[in-house]
Amino acid sequence: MAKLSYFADGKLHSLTLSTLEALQSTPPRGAQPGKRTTRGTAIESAHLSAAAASPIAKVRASGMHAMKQMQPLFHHLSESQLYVASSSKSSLSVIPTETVLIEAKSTAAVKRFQQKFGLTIVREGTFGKVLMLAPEGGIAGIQLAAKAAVGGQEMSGIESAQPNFLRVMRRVRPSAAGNQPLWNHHNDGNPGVASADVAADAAWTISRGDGSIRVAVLDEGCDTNHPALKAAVVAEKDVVDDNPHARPDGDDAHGTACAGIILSRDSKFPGLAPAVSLIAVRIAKGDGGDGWIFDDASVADAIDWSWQDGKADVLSNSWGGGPPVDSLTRAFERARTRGRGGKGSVIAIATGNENAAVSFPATLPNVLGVGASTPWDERKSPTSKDGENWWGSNSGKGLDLVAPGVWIATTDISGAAGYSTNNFVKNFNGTSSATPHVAAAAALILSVNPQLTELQVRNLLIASTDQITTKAGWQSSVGYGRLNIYKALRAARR
Amino acid sequence: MKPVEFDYYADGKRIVLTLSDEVVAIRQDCVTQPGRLSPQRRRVLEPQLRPLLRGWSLTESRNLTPAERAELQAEGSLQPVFEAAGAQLVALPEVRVEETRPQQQNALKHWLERQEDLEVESGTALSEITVVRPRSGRGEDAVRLASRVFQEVHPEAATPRFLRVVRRPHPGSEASIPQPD
Repeated sequence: MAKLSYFADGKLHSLTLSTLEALQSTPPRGAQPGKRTTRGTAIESAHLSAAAASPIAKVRASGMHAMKQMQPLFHHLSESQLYVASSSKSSLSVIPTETVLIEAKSTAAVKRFQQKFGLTIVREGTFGKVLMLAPEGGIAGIQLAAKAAVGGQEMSGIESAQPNFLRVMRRVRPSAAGNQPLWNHHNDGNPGVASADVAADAAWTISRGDGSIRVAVLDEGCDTNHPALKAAVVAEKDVVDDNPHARPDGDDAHGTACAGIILSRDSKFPGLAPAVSLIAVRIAKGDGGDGWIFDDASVADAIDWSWQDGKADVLSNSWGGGPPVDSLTRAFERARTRGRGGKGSVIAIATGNENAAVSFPATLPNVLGVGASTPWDERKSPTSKDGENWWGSNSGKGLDLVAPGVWIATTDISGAAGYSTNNFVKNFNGTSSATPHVAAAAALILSVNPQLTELQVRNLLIASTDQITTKAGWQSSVGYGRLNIYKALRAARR
Repeated sequence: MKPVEFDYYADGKRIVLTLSDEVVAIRQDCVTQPGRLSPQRRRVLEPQLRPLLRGWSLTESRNLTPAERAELQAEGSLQPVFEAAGAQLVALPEVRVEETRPQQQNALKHWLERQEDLEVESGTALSEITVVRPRSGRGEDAVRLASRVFQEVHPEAATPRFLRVVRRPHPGSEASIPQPD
C-alpha cells in the first residue's frame, strides 16, 4: 500500500493510499443494512461528495457534469485514476489530486518552485495562492505533488505548500438522544463537560427578550425571508449593492448563521434571545474564494446608520482583519456614546480565528472583544478537545470574554443555498459564532433593564462570566472567562 | 528591490502600507465594455478579473503594458493595491476627515480652501465628517493627502477610503460533530 506524507501545522502527516474500489468495499457509515450500493452509484456519490466539498471545484450542481469542474486537478479523470487517502488519526478520507497548492511571497518564488518540480500553473488565487499540476497523471502525479509540497517547505519565498486534496465528507446525523445540538444553551456533558454553556435555559426563566430591543447584525447579509427570522426583522440596510433589502448573494450564509444564534424563532433551533428584533445590515460580500470584501467608508456609514436610523441597542460584528482605520473606530465610538439616546449601544466584535493576536476592530477599547470556547470550557485552539485543528480563537489584549464557538446549530440560508441543503446548519463555528452569543446576552440584559448604559451592560457581562482557567481575573487566553447569561440577567434585575 | 511604502494615521499611530507590485485594481467597465482596451487585451483580462465592490476588480499588473497602465491611471480607472496586516487594500481617491472641535473645524476649512488640487464634499450625514477627493483621481494621492492633512492640520481623523479584502471565516466540518455515545 503506497504512502503519502506532507507537512501541516509544522508536523509531518502520513496517509495511506488505496484505490476507490477499496472505499466501495466498505459500506459508508450510516448505510442502511442490507441495502448494497452499486459500483456506479458509489463512484458517482464519491465524486459528487468530493466536488461539493471542494473549495477548488466550487460546485453545488448535481449530476456527473459537475465532475468537469474537477478536471483541472487530474490529467485523466476516470474511475481507475481515483485514489483515496486515509489516516489512522482521522475518520475522514480524502482524494489526493495531481495538484499542489502553494502560497508564495513573489512571482519569482513561484517560478523557482514550478521549475524545480516541473509543474504547470492551473490557477492563481488570492493571497499568493497558486495551484500547480504535476506533469504525469495517476499515482506518479499524486506522489510528485506530495513530494513538491514537502520540498517547498525548505524553499525561500514559499510560505506554505500542501498537496491539494478533495475531501469526501460523509454527512453524519447525530441523534437527539446521544448528542446535544444546543450544547451552547445547556450542556449536560455530551459533548464536553456539564455546565460548559451560557446557561440559556436558566436565563429564559427570567427573559427571552423584548421586541423593543433591536440588535443589528453587520455581516455579509442575512436571509430576512428565513422562516425563523422573518418575523423578527424590523429594518434592513445594504451598503454593498444598495439593495432595498439586506439579503445575501448566493452562498453568503455567514450573516444568516450569526443572526440565528441571537434570535432564531424556530422551536427546534431557537436563538438565545428569540423575542428581540433584528436589524439586518449588509456590509460585505464573498469574492467566490477565500476572500471577504469590505468598503471601509461604507462600513463606517453602516455603523452610523445602525445606531442613528436603525436605533440599534446592540451591534453584533462577526468580522474583522487588516490594519486599523479611524473612520471605523470613530463610527463605533459614536454608536457607543450617542446610540440609545446617549445611553450607548453595546458593541460585540469577534477577535478572529487565526490563533494569533486579536484583530482589528476587536482591538478597540470600550467594545466587547469576544473569543471562542469549546464544550470542554477551554479556549478554542488547534489542539483543543473538539478536534477542529485548523483554527484557534485569537487572544491577548482586546479579548474580554469567550463564548461557545464550535458545533453551533443555527439558521442557514433557506433552501439549498448556504452551508447546508436545508434551513439550518449544525456546525457553524469561529469567534463569528461566539460573538452573537454575547450580543444576545446584551439584548436580554437590556430587555430586563432598558435603563442601563452601555458601560453598565459591558460591566455586567464581564462581572458575571464563569472562570474557566485556574487563575482568577483577566487571562490573555480567555479574557475574564466564559459568558454566563443567567448570572448576567440576575445581576441586571437588581 | 525595496518595496514601495505609503502611510496613513490611525489612533494617532503611523500605519505603513506596502504597495503591491503584482496586483492593481481596474474599473471593470474598462474591460467589459468595447473601445477602452484592445480586443486582445480584453480577452486576456476578462477571465482573470476578481470582482470587488463599486465596479472595481483586481487584476495582475503584468496583464497591462506600462503605456496602458499610465493611460488608465490618468483617467482614474486604475488604482493601487496595498498590503498590510494580512489584508489587501484598494485605495480609492477619497479621504474622510473627521473633526468635532469648532476651532479645529475652522482651521481645517481654511486649510482645505488653500488646496487647489482637491474637491471638497460637504453635507454628509454627520456634520463633523468632510469628504475630500484629489482631483487627480488617484488612490495614491488620497493616501498621501490623508497623511498630509493629519500632519499639518491635526484633525481627529483623516482616513483614506479603502476597499478591504480579508480572509473569510469558514464553518466547520459536520463530520467533526461528535457521534452519539
